[in-house]
Amino acid sequence: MDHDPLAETFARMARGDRAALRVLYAEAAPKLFGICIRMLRDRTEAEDALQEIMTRLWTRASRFDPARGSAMTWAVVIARNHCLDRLRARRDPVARDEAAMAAVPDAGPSPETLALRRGEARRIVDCLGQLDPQRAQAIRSAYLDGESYEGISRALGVPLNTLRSWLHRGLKALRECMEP
Amino acid sequence: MHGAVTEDDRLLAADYVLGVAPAAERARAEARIRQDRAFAAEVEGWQRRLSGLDAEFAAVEPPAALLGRIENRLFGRPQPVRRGKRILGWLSGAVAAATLAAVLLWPAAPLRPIADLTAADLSVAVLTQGDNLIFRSAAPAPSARDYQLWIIRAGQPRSLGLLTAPETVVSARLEPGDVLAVSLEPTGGSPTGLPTGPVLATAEITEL
Repeated sequence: MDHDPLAETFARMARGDRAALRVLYAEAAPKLFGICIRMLRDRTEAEDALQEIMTRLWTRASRFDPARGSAMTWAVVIARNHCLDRLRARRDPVARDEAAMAAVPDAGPSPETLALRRGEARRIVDCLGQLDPQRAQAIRSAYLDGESYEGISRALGVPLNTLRSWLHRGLKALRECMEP
Repeated sequence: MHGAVTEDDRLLAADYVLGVAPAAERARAEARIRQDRAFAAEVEGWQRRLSGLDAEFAAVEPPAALLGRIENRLFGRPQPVRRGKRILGWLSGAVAAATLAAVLLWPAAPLRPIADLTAADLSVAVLTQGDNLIFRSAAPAPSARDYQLWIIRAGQPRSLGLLTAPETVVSARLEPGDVLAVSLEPTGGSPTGLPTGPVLATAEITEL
């Protein structure tokens, strides 16, 4: 596996090294904040969420296992889960905060994106490309924007149960494509 | 529990990682992850597969002041120690604790330390005894403030009361994944039912 400096930062955090929290903030907070802004669409809530995510990364640092994946992937899982919990706890879908959205740069292929277009990243992009475009789009907006079954069902005008089995066929195909 | 992973499980795992599931289904998946290794592996498989999309999240610089707020929350801020008449309350608390300790001498479930909540001015040992949680604190809160105890489960904080004596006993059964926290609140505790002051220390319960 490639050298993963962030994994060392988590190891230091697990030992209670407070300086490592600053390293994590410098290295990972912009990415994690980008996730919060994109999924929550509300800048104030995104700031609260980032605080909570950083707290969780600190308290759970000892649970990170470098043998099972990269430190950034693990941090993103924790960040997305927290944002999803917030989204699903909302009674009403919050209107898009246009100012927050304007702060999100276009997710065009940055150098990072290009560098990551290998391995898993390359495979999922290729495999999504083989799905029916509407299914691929539904999977993307669920993962990246936190869209729910209900939201996608409204957007596409498809009943919930139909949508579930339609999306499940897409996920099965995605899995088969990625792990033939 | 190590049941075989069914097709329904695979779809539940996919829905959970993708994030489309409603809150109740997310909670169900999280409970399964803790109990069922095969299901947890299924979730990890989807996390790995979909992580290829992570590169599409654009980075956004967070406000610079946020780091300080996070550090205050995790480590507390050194605060001037002003102790006045609070000490009296603390002493009467000590008497109450002695009485309580006598009651606790009754043969009971073993007393086990499970976490420490520590920050600059704060040191609280957390122990369990059967269905009770015991918080032992070294020092009272600064004047005109109270330390408030919280349990955070599934992201929702619930107050466990104030830390107004050297030993506070609360009836609560912990689950792995719970987070215990201490916040600094106005005297009498948070007026909102949620932490309003800085969270001075947190501890996640990983195993019981």
